[in-house]
Amino acid sequence: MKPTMPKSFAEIRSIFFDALQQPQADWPAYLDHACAGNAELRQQVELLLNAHVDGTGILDHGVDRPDFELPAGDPRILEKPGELIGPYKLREMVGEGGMGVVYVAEQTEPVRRKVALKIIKPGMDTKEVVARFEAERQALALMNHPNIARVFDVGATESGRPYFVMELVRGVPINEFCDHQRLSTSQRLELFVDVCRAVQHAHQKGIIHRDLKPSNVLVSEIDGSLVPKVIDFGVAKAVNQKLVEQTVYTQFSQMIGTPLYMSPEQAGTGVVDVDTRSDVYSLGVLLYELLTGSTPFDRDTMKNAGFDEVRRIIREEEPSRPSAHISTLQAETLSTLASSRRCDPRRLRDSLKGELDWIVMKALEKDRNRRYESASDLAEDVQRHLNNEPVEACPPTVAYRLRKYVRRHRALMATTAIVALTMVLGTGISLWQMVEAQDARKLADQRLDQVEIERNRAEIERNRALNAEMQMATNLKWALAAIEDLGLAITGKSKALLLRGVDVTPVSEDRSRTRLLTSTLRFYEAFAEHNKRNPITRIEAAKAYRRVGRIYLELGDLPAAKNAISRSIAIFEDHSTTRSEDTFNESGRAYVELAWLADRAEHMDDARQARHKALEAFEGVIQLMPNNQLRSREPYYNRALVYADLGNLEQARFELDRLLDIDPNIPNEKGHTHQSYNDVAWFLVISPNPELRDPARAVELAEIAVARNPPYRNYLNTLGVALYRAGHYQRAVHALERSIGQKKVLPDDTLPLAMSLWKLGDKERAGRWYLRSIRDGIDPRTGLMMGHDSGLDVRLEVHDWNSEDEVWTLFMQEAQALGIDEYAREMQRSASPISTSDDPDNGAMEMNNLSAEEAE
Amino acid sequence: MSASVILVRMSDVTRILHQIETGDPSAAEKLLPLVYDELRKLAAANMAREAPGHSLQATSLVHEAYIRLVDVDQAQHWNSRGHFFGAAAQAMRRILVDAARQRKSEKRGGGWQRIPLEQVDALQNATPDELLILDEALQELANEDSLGARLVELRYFAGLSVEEAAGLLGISAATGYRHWSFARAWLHSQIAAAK
Repeated sequence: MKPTMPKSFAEIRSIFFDALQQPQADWPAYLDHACAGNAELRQQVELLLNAHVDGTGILDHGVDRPDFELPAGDPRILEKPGELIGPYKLREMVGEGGMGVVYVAEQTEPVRRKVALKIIKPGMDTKEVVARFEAERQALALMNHPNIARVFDVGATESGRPYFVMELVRGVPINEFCDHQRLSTSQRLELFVDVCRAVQHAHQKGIIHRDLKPSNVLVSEIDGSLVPKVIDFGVAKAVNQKLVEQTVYTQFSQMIGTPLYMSPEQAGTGVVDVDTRSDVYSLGVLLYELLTGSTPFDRDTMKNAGFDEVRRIIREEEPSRPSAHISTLQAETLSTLASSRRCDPRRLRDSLKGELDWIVMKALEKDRNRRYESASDLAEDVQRHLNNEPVEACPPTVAYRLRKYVRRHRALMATTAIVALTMVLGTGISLWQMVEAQDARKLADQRLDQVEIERNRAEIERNRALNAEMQMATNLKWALAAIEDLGLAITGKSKALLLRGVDVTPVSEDRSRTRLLTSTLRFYEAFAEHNKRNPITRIEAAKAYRRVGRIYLELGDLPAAKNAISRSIAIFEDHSTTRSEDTFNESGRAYVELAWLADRAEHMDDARQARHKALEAFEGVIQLMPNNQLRSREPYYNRALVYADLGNLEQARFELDRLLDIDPNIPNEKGHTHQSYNDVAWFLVISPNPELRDPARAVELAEIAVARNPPYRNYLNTLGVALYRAGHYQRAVHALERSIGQKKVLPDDTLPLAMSLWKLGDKERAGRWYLRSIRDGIDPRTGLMMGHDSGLDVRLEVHDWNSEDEVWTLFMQEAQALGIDEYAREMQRSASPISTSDDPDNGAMEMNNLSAEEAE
Repeated sequence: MSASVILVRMSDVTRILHQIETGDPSAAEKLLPLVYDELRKLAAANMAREAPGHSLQATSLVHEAYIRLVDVDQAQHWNSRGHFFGAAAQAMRRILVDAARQRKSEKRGGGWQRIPLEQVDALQNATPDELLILDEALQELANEDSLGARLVELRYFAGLSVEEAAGLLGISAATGYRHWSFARAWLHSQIAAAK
């Protein structure tokens, strides 16, 4: 017999809801009162309440997916404060998460303490959960770490829902805590290091967390210090075994929370093969969020994407680097973000750029083999960043990957193939595209003649074709730059070295390098020949001839080098070549090279003549820019260098004075004033002519530049090197450390820092920084900085230094004494030909030494 | 096998969803038959694919149908999902109820084949009797609390969570839970009483 629908439906509903607000034990009394005298009404409500409590109806079974994402406010949460769950007495409810409800509970046996009791929302096989937990229990019991909340126990409520008993942590999710307390980036990093260490501890005990996210890392302040605690270890494994499989069809909006922190391998289909590196990934997401305020993948995008799309994003899409990410934020959002880190927007971005970007991106690598091996590796790298020490993570640029590849595949064929590949990718395509663009232009030109009516349209097309051609020319420049970068890596020589024309050891005895150089050479030759008649690319062709000349220098074929450089000059001097800053600078450099060749051949007149031509060319740049622009400082600098070579010290000093005459308050490209002071100081430190060196005056000038431009790393570097030269080693260390603290760690800081420390007798630190400078591109055999123009300058220092053979020996001994295997290996590796910088900016391809020195 | 499954062109459903979104009231009616068809075909196809004894998940089918029929790129909006799942829940309800009726009439020796019954049986845990009672009770509930009834439909037949269903119906999660807990208790009591 089926009950009929009651007339007072609304009344029943209202009493039903009121009853639910009260403990179950109080229901009879409440119903006595609420349904006074109406037995039918009371019976109806009681039926409903019984049905409510009974968790086994058709609607629970029929829904064929477990409802463990049941969110807040679920009236099916039956447990009330005061109730007993197993041996635990519930106190207040302290939280509701995706997975369940958390209560403070009192335990009386075997110890009296307060614990956190998390009741998992219904819908999963309780027995299985408990069994899985039991399987891990022994391992969990081994965990003992101040930053890990222990999990004590698991059981099931009477209605069959699993619960976990954990150490009670009163804290706030780490991201909320950091924002609320307005922690600075470094404070956040310190907290994060603690978290990593905790996770590492668990990993060592064989426990993977699998569900690391801010809400599972609670921070509280204990005795004035901030203590993060990772909670829920072991819970995810017990509960979420089938998460991925089950969510395939179901969740479109509600899965959020998990996938944002889920590693690519967790997001995969099939057998979920998860190891500790999955936690490293999640830590990377956490770090990303602490630094930028958002997760690598946009919360809303993930929310609105279907599951397959979510999975694809996690597995395939490259998130933007943290610094790039915050650059895309709206001004208002950004300034809020910055202020919650006690920082201004620009400084925030600068602080992320470089090392922190690399660290985060390394943790977030899709391929777990490329991530940090362990949570502690990640922690150590962050710690290194905090200590201003070199980090392990590297920027994942194409050039970097290429070089890594080269390093791994030393065999000649492979390296040659890389050169070829770069040419094809970078240049071949561009060349081909350019031919097409040229054809299009020709066609447009023809039309111009033939059909007057179509003139306008044709003109538009012509312009478009021209633009395309220009674009191709730009692409070509980039391709050339890429080849050059690689070439520098292979030759191990600095461009500036060649500009300066200082001694180059022929490398013909090294056959693989020779062959590699030869193949690069062929590329440049073909390129130059192919392009020398095209008005747009002829400048590039001229530059290519210069490279050809330089490679012949490397190969020790001086006549061929001279021939190539002369051809380069011929193009620059051709009447049809447009005179520009660029062509003047290029031909000036070509003449410097020619002069050096003449030096070698002891043709002193030729050398002098070439140098005067170089002076003319650099003067040409000055004439093109008569209005005292800061940009024109380079030719003065170059002229000073050439005069120094000519032995005309007076004129060299005059050029430096001209440089100082430029209004120092005109800011440079980066907005800093007093660039010319810095440049002159630099010259006075590194002049190849000892008579022109004046470290004391250099310190004065650099100090002015630094004082007017608080912490600008280039100026600090100049100051540091000047102080080293002047014998103020302690102050040099200070300046260089400040410089390193500003930006990335660059070898033009680390090498002089190592040298200063060495002078101060701090051999251990000197050794470490020296190692780092080698990793960043200093060739330990020569002290040259590879792929970096300022290598010229530091080289001169280290040249003195390295010329004492025992320094090298001492370093090797030091390495062994310290037991740093890696150090010794690094030395050996660096001593082999194809070792180079891990810093992309060392490969800055701008052809003049000042600009490269500017590179951040 | 998969070729026979995708008989409805994806764009049809996407287009209808778009029409609904832009306020064409007749469009909603076209949606139900398309979804209904697709669900039946999916059920058949899945059964053919799976090993014997494998239990199918009705709500998985609904979601699979969504993925198949709706061009997600074009129908990103929550509303279009709402319309789809509303129709899908109704369609699944019909499929299951029809099958339950069929099963009962078969026992009495009559009936005609629409979908092989074992395929539909695999879709659910409820017995035909339970399902028919639920269907009837749901209709009654709809008279008093149409929101609660639709919520149950979305949850039970389309496999949405209470919160998702609430989102589709344009009510808060808290309101959704109130409706759900009452509807659930009420329906359960009706079914218990009918047995």
